[in-house]
Amino acid sequence: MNQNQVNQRGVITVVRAVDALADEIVKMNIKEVFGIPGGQIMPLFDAFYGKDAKIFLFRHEQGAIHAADAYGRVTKRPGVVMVTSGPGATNLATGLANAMMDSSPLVALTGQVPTSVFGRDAFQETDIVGLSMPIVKHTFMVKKPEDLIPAFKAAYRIATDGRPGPVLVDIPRDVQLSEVKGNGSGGINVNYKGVPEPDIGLVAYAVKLLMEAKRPVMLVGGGVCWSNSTEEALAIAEALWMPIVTTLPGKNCIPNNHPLFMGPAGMHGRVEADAALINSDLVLAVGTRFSDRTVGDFKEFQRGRRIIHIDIDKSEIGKNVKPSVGIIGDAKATLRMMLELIPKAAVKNEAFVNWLKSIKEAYEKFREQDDMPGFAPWKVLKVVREVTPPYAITATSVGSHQMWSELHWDVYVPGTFITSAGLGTMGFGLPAALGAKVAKPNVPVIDIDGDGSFQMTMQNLALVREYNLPIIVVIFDNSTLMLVRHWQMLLYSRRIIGVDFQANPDFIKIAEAYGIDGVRPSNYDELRSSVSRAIRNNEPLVVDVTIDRERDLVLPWVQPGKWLAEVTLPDGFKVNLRYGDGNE
Amino acid sequence: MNNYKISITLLNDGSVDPLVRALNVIRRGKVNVKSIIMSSNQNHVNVEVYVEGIEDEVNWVCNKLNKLYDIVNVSYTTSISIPKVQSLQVGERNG
Repeated sequence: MNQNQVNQRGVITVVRAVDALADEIVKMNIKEVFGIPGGQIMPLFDAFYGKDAKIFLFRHEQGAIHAADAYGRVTKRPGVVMVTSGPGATNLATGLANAMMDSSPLVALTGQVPTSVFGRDAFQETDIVGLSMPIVKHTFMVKKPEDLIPAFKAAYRIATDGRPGPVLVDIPRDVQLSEVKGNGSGGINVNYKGVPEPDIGLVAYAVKLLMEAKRPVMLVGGGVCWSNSTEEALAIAEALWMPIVTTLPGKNCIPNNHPLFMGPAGMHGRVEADAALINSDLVLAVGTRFSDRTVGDFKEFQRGRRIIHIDIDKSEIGKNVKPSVGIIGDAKATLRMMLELIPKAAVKNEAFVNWLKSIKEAYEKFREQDDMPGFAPWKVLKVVREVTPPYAITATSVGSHQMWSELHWDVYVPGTFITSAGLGTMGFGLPAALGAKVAKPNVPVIDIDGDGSFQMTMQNLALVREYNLPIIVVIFDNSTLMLVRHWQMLLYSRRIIGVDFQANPDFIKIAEAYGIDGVRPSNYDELRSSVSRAIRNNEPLVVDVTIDRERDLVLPWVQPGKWLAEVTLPDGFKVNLRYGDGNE
Repeated sequence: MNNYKISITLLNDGSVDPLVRALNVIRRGKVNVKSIIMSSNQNHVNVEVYVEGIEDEVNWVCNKLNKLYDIVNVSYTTSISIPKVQSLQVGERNG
């Protein structure tokens, strides 16, 4: 049996593998696809002609894959990106690694040269399967047309199987154009992993340790978002009145205005979050891989405190930190089991939480009074947040603006903060914002960016008018690569080299060139009114906020590899981070 | 530092991709590879990797291998001795 069709004139038309795939993709309710065409992927693009799916044409493949990544984070369904072979495929590498590090589901479809010229260094031939293997969950090289749909379906399933991530499907052009024979079921053989049930014995032991703890702290990672377990995490924290600190992705999983939320801990974390971890006698870590950015010094982190680690990925248990109890399972299921075992009248250490809150209040007060010439980054974020609806989606790139956002951008609705955490990919913000806007067209989307990051992918601004994706871009313009400069100042004896931009382009004119309003506010009122107007009118906007690079040091800051207690605080802000020194 | 044998069973899809994926994991592990023995049948590829290292790192390698989608089984045991395998004589011919 083949899948050929008879058209209205009674002529038998050959169903190419790509036609069947495009039909299947639409049938799977995948209505938005990101990409750029080229010679070896033209058949697949052609197959989408007239189909009920929209192709978003990016201006660089890196932009397309970051958009697919963000689309996956917002919808929790894999974003799909399709590009050609050679440079088209290699331009995906950063995006694949980024999605892998941040556990973001996506499927990348790459065109490949025909099988007849494999290994002959044909024009635009690159072994993208070999190249991408270490930075994706899985790869498929489709060599038979009847394997194409099964490979795509398997890729789509793998992308969200257990811990989410990217999957790549490489499709030679001759396979794309070949007729599908048989029933198209193919011979794809995959050993799916699924989600293990949490071990009830370990869960009970974890609860026992929790009950024994005097100052337990919950460390929330990005896994809490993926398992949709915000409610369960909050319920446990409230039952024990346990402070919650987060990783950078974990900031996205807890409403930042919750009374137990102490913010992200670590290198660019909040002081009250660092203080919580420093003084904890037990850490309940949920859906986190214990990044060095969060923990700093692994040995110190493990000294004198018990650790309960819950993660869906077995390979994370004991990888960086040896826990007292390691539970493999979905965070939601595990936390629910724990909740049932926690006594209703559990002892609550209110004094510890109150002490942490006093640190928070002191820091906030310090920042309110602290000022710098021009714009202060923390005040810019406060003003933009005030005029942005709580449900708005925020994306960031990577740099000082991202770290300021980690410290000072309040996430009210879980799942609305998208950032490149693990890989730290500059240029992520703008295309990610576009991908988020495609996923949720009726929700305001803001890209908080830096001038260095913005210039890495700004050509994708073209999509704003082309597809009516009115996002707001706020550029923290300090004319330097600020985080590198920061390290040069503090770790390399102020030997500033290769970071300052002497001739940045005029970002207002860049915006205008793409048909977008641009504004360079001279004070906070202008900033407030311009962003507010753009949101109200659902109009795109580029805001160029000038920031003095000599004073844009993101503090508090913990040096790489150092313990959180060795935090460098901003000049003029003093706090005792030891609980029990009579300061509670 | 001890010697360990990591035993891996992979799905055989007719290509070396499953094997390369597994080797990609092993090359990121903090172990010294002493010897690799591989055999295959129609359905599976069996690989024995003899490594030297600390158990934590061997465990890391096995856990990461276990995540791969063409892995059927992974286990490790303390290896008593690393097998000596006679290499084939390779001759050069020009047709």
